[in-house]
Amino acid sequence: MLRLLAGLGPKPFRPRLYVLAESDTTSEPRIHELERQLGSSSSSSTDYRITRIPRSREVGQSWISTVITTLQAATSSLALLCTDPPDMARLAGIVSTRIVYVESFARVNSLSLSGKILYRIADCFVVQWPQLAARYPKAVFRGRLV
Amino acid sequence: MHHLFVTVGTTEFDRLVAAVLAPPFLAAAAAAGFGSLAVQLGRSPAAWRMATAAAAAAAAALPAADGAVRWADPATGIAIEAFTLKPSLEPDMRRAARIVSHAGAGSVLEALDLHRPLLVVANPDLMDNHQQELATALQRLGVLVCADSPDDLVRVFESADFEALVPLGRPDPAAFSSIMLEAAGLPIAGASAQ
Repeated sequence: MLRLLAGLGPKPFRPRLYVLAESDTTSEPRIHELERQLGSSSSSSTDYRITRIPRSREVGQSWISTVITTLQAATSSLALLCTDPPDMARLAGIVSTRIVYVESFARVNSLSLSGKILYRIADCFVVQWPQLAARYPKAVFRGRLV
Repeated sequence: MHHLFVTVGTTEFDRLVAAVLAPPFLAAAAAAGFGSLAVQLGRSPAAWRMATAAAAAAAAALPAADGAVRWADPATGIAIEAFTLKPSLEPDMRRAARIVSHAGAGSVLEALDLHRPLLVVANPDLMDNHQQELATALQRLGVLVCADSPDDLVRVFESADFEALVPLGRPDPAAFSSIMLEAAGLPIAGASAQ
């Protein structure tokens, strides 16, 4: 994700709200480093902020307990959309918000579950492998982005 | 003597840790000219126990102040260092003449961007094993070699032609920016001026 944003530049999309999983211990210093490279100030929230939500599923977690944790994650995400409504969201959005979904570089031949859901909803659906672009007519393919 | 780096990323991959600390792999690494090995263990307590047990068996001291445990493999003499997580793995990757990695996209791309010969080991225990897709697709491009599971690691490590690997091209840095500007209905010319 951070590799993707490095090419975006500091303007015109700001402020940027980074949503991390609560269990994520490695991304936050990387975000500060990326924003520092973009010339942002970490003391001001006009450029970017970081917030955390529960992860819907940890790697290796059972599918049954995933139902509960996914509901918790969804509740937190919805609350976030109310407190910080985006003009443009990459993953989730509300009416009048333009949604750009970028499928993971890890998905070569099939979409992720998020991708399958967002394929119908997103205003712009981006994939990073030609095999996926061939299978999904609506998908935008501009080569590898990360 | 070359340095070898093994990374499992931020999750757990005990079978890979067990495989790289086992005698067959260490013998293969020594035979290929590697004199030192660093293993990034990830979050798994079991992986940490494997490393500390191996260190204790080699009569090594307990973890150093930096949180890493270090010992010399009795059979091969390879100097081994094991640690759980670090804010950045780039120094470890730069130091290595070859990298063995889990199939996570972040680790794979970081190693390829540094032009290190890369062996990716898929994790067959993951429920949705799309990581295998990525490793296979990149192997087809000739940028890395891939093992289907930790059981296959030694065979691939010994038989793969690491010299024949080709670099993975860089992504177009402006591509995502122009996608976002198009989607927002903003002029793309403004992006190139920044």
